[in-house]
Amino acid sequence: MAHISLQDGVPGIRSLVLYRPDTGKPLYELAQVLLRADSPLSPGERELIAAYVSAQNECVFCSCSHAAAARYLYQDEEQTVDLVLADYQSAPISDKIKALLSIAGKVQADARTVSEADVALARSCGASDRDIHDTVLIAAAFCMFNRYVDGLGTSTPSDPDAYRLMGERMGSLGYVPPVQP
Amino acid sequence: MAYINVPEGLPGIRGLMAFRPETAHYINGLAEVLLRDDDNTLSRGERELIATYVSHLTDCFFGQNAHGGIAQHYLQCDMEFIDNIKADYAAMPISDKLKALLSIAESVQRGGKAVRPEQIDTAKNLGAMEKEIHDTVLISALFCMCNRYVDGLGTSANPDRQFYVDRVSCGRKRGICILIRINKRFLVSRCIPFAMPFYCILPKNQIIMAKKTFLPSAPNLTLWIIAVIIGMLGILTHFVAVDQLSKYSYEMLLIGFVLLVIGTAYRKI
Repeated sequence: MAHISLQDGVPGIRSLVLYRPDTGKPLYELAQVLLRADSPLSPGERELIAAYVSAQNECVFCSCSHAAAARYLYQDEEQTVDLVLADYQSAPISDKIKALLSIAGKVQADARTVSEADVALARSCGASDRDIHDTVLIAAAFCMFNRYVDGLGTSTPSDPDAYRLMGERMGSLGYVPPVQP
Repeated sequence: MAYINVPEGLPGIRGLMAFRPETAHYINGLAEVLLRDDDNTLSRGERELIATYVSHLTDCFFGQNAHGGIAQHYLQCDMEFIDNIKADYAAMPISDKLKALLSIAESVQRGGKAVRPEQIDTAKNLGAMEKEIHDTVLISALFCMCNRYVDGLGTSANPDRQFYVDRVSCGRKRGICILIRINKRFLVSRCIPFAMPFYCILPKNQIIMAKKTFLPSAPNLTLWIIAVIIGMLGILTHFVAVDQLSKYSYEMLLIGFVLLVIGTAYRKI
């Protein structure tokens, strides 16, 4: 049961965007530029960071939907996403992404703990300023989205197929704010 | 020193916004609607207080002082009052509704799931509207992002807390509050483009910011049509004598030109 009067049958953040479109618009635009616009990180890698941070925040809606988007974008290697969510250190991803996920995890828990050593490790694996910036901002942004979605008690689908469809939409169309039907 | 190469002299989130104006644009847009829009039953002071309190809980120095300074200004209080709110808001002379909203913001800061239905009921019983609850949750969430953005990239900030108060209030007194309150990125992208020919006299960091933040855009159709009509009238009346109009042909052409320049320089016009 949501804490405020949201439209029935609309899950997660989409119900909040319909509730207050003037804040929803910049939120969706931020997600689009952060996860899809040009970046040294691929859209799949960025969705992976989003799904990982959302899982750390235990936000079921965001972690399932962004994991689904990451699986869609990883195509043939979709199992990578689940391996990362289970234990990224042993997953088949580059050292650079591992170092960035470790920074993202610290940003989620307590951003003050991100140290020069963490950043230096990422740089030694080939991360640029933009890689580091985008990782920190994606992690920070999902600390916002997760709290927004859960803090207002929005509805969370339990059917895995619902997330698969969301993932396809997010992976192919990007972030388009829902409109009042 | 921040972990990434941000322009010098821009503390906290400002340096990050200059580093990546594309994301800053939407973060600013969200903050503008949420914190400053006057079409809101929560006052600007109350909203800034929520932002300050959340930044205090996350222990983000820049966030709690930058927004504490603004809250102090709107609430017409002193720094001690803000500090007492942080220490124990329940004991402070603020409305019970605001206390209930601060308690919701506190839970959101710990994690979205920490918000309990009883907290929402309490806030509603004390007169909080659903939109106020929504905005409280989103302000808290927004600052959970901004605090992490600022601290996760190791940005620097002026350690003098009074600095953040003075920059708000002295601006007000001189009647240039808008120049101070609107952040530098906004100022630079709106005003500095017109000073492009004078770049040599600007501080270096502003030049870097101006180059990074200024993106010309297409004017909107209405403005374009108006500008073209006025400009054409100016040209026509220069060659064809029309009573009353011909003597203003130069001014009309100039107005058309200026409108087009403004239309391309400002994003939403």
